Amino acid sequence: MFVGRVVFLKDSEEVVQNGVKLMGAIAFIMLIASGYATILKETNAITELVEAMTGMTGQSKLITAILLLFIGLLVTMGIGTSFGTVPILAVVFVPLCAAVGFNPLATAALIGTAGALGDAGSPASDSTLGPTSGLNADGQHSHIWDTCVPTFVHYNIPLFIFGIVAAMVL
Amino acid sequence: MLDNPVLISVIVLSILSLSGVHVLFALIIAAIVAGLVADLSLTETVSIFIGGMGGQSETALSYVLLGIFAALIAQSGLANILIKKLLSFEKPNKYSLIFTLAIIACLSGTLIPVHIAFIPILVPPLLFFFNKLKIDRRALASALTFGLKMPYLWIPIGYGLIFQGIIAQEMTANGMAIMQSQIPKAMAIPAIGMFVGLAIAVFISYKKPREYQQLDEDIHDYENPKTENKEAKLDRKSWIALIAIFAALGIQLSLSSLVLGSLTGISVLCLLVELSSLKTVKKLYRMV
Repeated sequence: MFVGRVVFLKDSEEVVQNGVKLMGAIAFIMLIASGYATILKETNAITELVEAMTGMTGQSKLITAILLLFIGLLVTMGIGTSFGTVPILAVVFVPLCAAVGFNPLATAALIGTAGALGDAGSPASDSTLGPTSGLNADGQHSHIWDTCVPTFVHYNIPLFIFGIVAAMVL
Repeated sequence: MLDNPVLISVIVLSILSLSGVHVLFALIIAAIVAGLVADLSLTETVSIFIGGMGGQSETALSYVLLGIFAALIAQSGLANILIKKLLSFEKPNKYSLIFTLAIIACLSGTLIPVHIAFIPILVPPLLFFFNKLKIDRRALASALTFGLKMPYLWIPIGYGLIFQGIIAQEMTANGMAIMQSQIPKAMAIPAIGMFVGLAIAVFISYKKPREYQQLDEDIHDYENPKTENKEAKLDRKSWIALIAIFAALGIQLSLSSLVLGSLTGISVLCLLVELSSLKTVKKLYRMV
């Protein structure tokens, strides 16, 4: 039994090493992304960016939609969460959408899509870090070139186009 | 607007990541740039940065525990059985594998809200298969990201319910009342966009076979015809691993804590393995 225990302890060292190898980097990236997001929030940089938009849209529905989605893309890439982007954008963009004449459904489509944009393809979001953690288990899958760039191109471009279509037809 | 810290630091993050700097450093540098552009001093920036890291401490701990749990499961040999089962099918179809993965990812955000927790456990053992079928892993990454993302945009279950609740709540709070039940209707068109993106990725962009190196031990294990189909039955250790997975899942769902779920999985697995290897217990087991 004593021998068995020694083997067990030796195994546990190896198991922890393997586990950290699999998920340690993604865990630390989540921590660092959170620190980065805090800087963006505490310096009011996000609010300033969103507010800077209000003067630029004029009365055009299309330009408002494009700018809103673009800001959504930037903010989500910065703070790494779609869920956190929605409240930040809603404060400025809901009144703006009303002023330009978007109805509630179109506004919901815009705010939702703006939040979603940038999550796929962001190097620090769990929608990309998760897939990499599994696919790179043997070290043959690059996070940036094999997860982020493909998902950025294939999801953000359609979301952008379909988001604008939704805003215009709803 | 052009001197906004968000704009500048996201551009810095993207350029650094694309030019091959590891995302860990790219993020740190982007954070420092953001702080400096916003007129913070270097020390202030670093201290806010470090203070903010705590915001994700639960996620970080749960991911590390999850990794350890996945490593334990890998040791149990459960994965080998899964692979042998898959090998015993006539010829596994590339597309059915890709879309199965997308569907599992969809489930992980809705009916079984484990989020990405299934990936480090399920995907590494399947890599052998993906390599054999020469599936471009970029197609698999696209399928997984689709599954992690599309459901919460459109389907009001699990994370989707939370996301759509936030949209309805924030819109109403800012002067445009909307019922939460209307959000899926609003998000249907953007969700269709995600389907289009997935189809383009799988059937056009990453359709071509891509070669990956098969690790030596894998080939040894599975391609030897003598061992094939020999041990495709669940042995004791794999049963224990299965029990541990369900225990972890149960705790994670009932207490909605991935940390407690992973801890449960790890302890159940270790305890049962330890117990089942003790001689006295073996004797007892035989007597029963």
